[in-house]
Amino acid sequence: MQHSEIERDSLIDRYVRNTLVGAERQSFEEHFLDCTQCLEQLEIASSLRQAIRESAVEAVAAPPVVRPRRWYVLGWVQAAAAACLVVAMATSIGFFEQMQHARRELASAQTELASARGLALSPAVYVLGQSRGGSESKQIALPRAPRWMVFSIEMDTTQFPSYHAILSDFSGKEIWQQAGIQPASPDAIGVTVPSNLLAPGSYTLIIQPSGPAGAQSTLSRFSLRFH
Amino acid sequence: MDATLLLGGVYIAGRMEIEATNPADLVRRIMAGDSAAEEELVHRYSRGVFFVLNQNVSDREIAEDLYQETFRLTLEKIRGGEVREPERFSGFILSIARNLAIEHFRKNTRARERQGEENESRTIAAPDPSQLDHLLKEERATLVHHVLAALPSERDRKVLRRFYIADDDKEEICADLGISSLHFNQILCRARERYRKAFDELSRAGGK
Repeated sequence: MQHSEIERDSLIDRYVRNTLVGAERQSFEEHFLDCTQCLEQLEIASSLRQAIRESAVEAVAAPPVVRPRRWYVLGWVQAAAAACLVVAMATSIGFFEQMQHARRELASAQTELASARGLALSPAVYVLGQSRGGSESKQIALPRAPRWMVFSIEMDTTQFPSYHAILSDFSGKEIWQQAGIQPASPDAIGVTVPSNLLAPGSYTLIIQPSGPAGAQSTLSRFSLRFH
Repeated sequence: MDATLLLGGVYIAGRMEIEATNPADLVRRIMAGDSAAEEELVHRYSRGVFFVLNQNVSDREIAEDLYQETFRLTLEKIRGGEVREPERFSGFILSIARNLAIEHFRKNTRARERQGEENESRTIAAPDPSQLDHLLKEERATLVHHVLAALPSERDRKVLRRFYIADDDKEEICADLGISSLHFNQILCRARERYRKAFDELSRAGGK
């Protein structure tokens, strides 16, 4: 095997990305086993790839700040009544104690649930970039075991202090949202979704600025197809 | 810490140069009972064999076990006169390493199936990373920070992310970012060169 051929066919990159297969892979392995030059290039490429992947996970895998999903919208009369009720109850110390207890229980249950569902496993990272094609869905394989899926979204993040992500299914029903996302870098934000929320199908992920004006301005929109 | 580990190397191999001895001579000497030839063979092939195993098996400790077993079996077969084409020795040792890796996966799959039958809803927890893994990760993070900081533009960083994290095709990245194939190769080459330099600096600092 000649070095010109290795360079021309990008064998080093294809090998470390596991896209070199069959006889070609076998023949390249036999070559580099006895070639210091290629082996060194392979080690560098493989280690750099691993380091970049690890740093991406570190950058975006911070625990998500999740805003509870809104189940329904109250009319103004019901809302006013509910507010009065809340104010009345809030005067009771017992109420606060109950709330604190409930919160602790909820946090504990969420941790246990995450652990039981395997979400403590290292997250799977996907990069979403703005491609020129635009409308094509990004095909993503759902992890076999439940785990966090981290979408590293390439966008200019210098315009707003924080962002809001909304994931909707094919019918437009909102299934997940994450508010107050701090940019991971000047050009990327990380959106973290538990895979067990997702079923195979088409979804839309939109990114808006956080805050009251956010809903009126969609900064990025991605079509995702999970399978 | 031995910086060679960062590149997926093994202790015994270090970064020694591969020697130019004909592999067929090595095989003949080993068959004649020359223990120095055995050592030479291990030094010559250890780095490559470990790299191949490490690419195929995600767990470093398992890769190390398979690596030890590969050389044990290889030497046993050479001594027993089982190498039919000594001039194609690379293929011979690789086939032993590949078969061991395949056997490992078979055993693993069977174990998972058994566990699945016992309790379908139970998930297998990933083993906790060792202290060495943590250290290697930290060192790699430092190196990659140097690499990314040294890149001249955000577009170059984007190329690296899309190529190494998203595994997008080179052609697709070039089309999306409006760069030529040559420019793409230059970006990758510069990044690797910078990473290698940072790695060499770390090796020198570690050797002091």
